[in-house]
Amino acid sequence: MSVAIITGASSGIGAAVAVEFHRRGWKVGLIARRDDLLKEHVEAMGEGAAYATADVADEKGLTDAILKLESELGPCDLMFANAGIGDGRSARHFTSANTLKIMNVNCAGVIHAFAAVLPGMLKRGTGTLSATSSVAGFRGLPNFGPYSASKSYVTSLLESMRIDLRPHGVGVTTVHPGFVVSELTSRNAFDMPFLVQTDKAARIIVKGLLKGKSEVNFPWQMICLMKFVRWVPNWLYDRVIAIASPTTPKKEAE
Amino acid sequence: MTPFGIRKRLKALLGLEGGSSSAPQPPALPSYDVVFDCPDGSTYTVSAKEGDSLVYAAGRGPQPISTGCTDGTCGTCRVDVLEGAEFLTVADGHELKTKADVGVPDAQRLACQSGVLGAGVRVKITNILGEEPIDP
Ligand SMILES: NC(=O)c1ccc[n+]([C@@H]2O[C@H](COP(=O)([O-])OP(=O)(O)OC[C@H]3O[C@@H](n4cnc5c(N)ncnc54)[C@H](OP(=O)(O)O)[C@@H]3O)[C@@H](O)[C@H]2O)c1
Ligand code: FES
Repeated sequence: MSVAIITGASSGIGAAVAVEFHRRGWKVGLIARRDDLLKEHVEAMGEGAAYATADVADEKGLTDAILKLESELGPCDLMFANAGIGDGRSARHFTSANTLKIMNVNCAGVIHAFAAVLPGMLKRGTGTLSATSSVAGFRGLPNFGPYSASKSYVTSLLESMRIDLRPHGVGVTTVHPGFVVSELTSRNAFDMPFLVQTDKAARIIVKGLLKGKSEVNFPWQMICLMKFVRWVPNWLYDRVIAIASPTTPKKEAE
Repeated sequence: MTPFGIRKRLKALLGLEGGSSSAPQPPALPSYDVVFDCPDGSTYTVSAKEGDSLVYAAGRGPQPISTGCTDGTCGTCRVDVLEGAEFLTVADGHELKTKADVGVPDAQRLACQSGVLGAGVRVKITNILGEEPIDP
């Protein structure tokens, strides 16, 4: 039985992906900070599910949690580094501490997770590394600078690793969701176009991961839009996105 | 820097040139300590320049306030003002409208719209970036 370890598995996309893997007969290891929620999910799934609490920004804490799950479930076949945070904040309120907090979870959290399992995967000559980026990583979105940047980092890191690791039997998959119902998006103060339900998102992600896709991108409407926007020249992007993006604060758009 | 620039600076430094050696500086703004109480019971203090918003000030501390729009439209950054309400900029019509629209209690302020004007401000953060929000 294969083993998937999922960070950010106490709620939202991560929790739903864990349930979907388990439903498909995988053993699942859940990691996040909220003990009570993780326990609840693992108990609901039953055999073949385990959890460990860790802050993904803490290298030692996360590595220990992964080791604990591997000793309980077996070596990690698939790492889904999904824990992430973010908020809407104009660059007028830009500070190092606030930005680094996002980077420490969204970027360092992925780095520590991969560093913990990659040596084992390379030794076994098999495995999958995956992480949740976002369509926000395709271009810098207004009001979401640190978040967009953290997701661009994830996208580029995984793209590069994918090429390096392919000859060694380790697959790399980047997940780019549009808007998905979760605790994170429940805080968004704007209408979210093409919003996807959490369970549906999890089914799409797991299917893509099992197929060994290089990227899992959804919903298609959002992906088409953002991939197109990637090629729009700056002079046009800057003007149009400031008016058209749902992430632009209403007052600034006026 | 051009060689000319370097020469001019050196001359100014050595006092070989009359007139003012540097451009006039804007007067330094005074700074005031702001105390932030966090939902986990911890507290931190940040030195804020006059006019800095509470969101900006807290964003330099260990537990930044969670924000949605930073333009006073969403209500995410609401804080309880525990002390020194008189040392914050007065809520404008936009903030009052948002508070009414999204149901922010009167005693709370929108941190992105509250500028620090003096010492003695102490607020309790309700939403921390990356943590579960606490309903008012
Ligand atoms: N929802 C969307 O529309 C959307 C779109 C694109 C990308 N994403 C990405 O999808 C991922 C999952 O987000 P979500 O939408 O499912 O939001 P969510 O429900 O808020 O889930 C975030 C998860 O990350 C965990 N987490 C946060 N900080 C952590 C830390 N320091 N250490 C360990 N775990 C931490 C949280 O658990 P604890 O609080 O228990 O630690 C939670 O399980 C994120 O990377 C997000 O950026 C989401
Ligand atoms: S962040 Fe939206 S009102 Fe302050």
